[in-house]
Amino acid sequence: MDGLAQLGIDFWSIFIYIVNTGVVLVALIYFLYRPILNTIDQRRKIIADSIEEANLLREEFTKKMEESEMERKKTETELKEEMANLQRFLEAKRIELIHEMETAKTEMMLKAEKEIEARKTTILKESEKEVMQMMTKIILDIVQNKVPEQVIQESIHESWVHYNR
Amino acid sequence: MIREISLFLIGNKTFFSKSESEKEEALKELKLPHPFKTYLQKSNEQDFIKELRGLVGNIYQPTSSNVSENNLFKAVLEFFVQSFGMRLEIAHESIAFSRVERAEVIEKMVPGENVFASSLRQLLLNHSYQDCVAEINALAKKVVNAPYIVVQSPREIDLELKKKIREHLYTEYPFSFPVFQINRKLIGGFRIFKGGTVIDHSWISRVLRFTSLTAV
Repeated sequence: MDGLAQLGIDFWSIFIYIVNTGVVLVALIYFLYRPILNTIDQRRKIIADSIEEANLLREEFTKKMEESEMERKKTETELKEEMANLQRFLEAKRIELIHEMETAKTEMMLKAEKEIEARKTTILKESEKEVMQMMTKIILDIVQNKVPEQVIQESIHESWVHYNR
Repeated sequence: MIREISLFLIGNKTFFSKSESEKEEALKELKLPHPFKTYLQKSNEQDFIKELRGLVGNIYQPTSSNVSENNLFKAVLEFFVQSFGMRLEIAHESIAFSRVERAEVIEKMVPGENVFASSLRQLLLNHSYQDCVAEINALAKKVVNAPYIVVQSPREIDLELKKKIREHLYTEYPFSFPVFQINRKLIGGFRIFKGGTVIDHSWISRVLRFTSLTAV
């Protein structure tokens, strides 16, 4: 034992050293290692949660994306249908307008024909009237100036006979 | 006329108390045209006095007197329309003659020396056809609201036919005095306007009818 002492090895000191080391270790474990572990665990947990959340979000996003795609497709289909309807409506309207235009054109043509016919009739009547007036004038001129007195006197007597019938 | 009737009634004071046949006999001595005799024969004293007053009142106040349906006036009108009408036509035909010649024609047409005949001669000699006709028609309108009758012809109608026309119209309108007018535009035939209607037998109407028919 003495020899160890001479060599400078002191068991007590070793013991104390070991105790100190133990105390230090305990202290380190208790005050440092465990909080660090705890922190690491918490961090790990946070990261795991974050990853999980990210996964959830990604899934949700994917779902949303799918829904959006479906919505887009649905909208596109609806739009196409609307477009087709619009086109059909436009076509129907175009046909209707053409038909109306045709009807209006026919009516206008009929009206114009009627007006032309009426005008033609008026002109004809006016011409006939003028001819009749001229005829009347000629007849009257002949009758007024060329009838002998005897005939006029006879006409008065004939009228009297006619009046008494 | 009033004078003649008055003189007659003075000479026949019991005239209105007589029967119709006695009246007829008594009226033979009265030198007045037939319508006046008929009137006196059918009239009684009260009506005669009333209607004579109406006639005299009309002479003095023609605008205010009421002569509507006065039988004495009707007799006057009947005389003018019946027998005076043709005399007026004859007098009118002699319009181109001198006054002396016209007087002779009228003298032959209305003989007699009584006041009535003399008055008629003066009337025919001194008044135009148009004046007489206008006066007679005005009276007819006033007394019986008689329609105005016009006979239009292209030339003067001869007296014989005028007489026939007058006689015919008299049966229809006994108080209207037909007026004969010349309208050369008629060409032939004649036209009668009576009581708002036209009876047209003129050539002009035939020509116009013909031309209007052919125009249809």
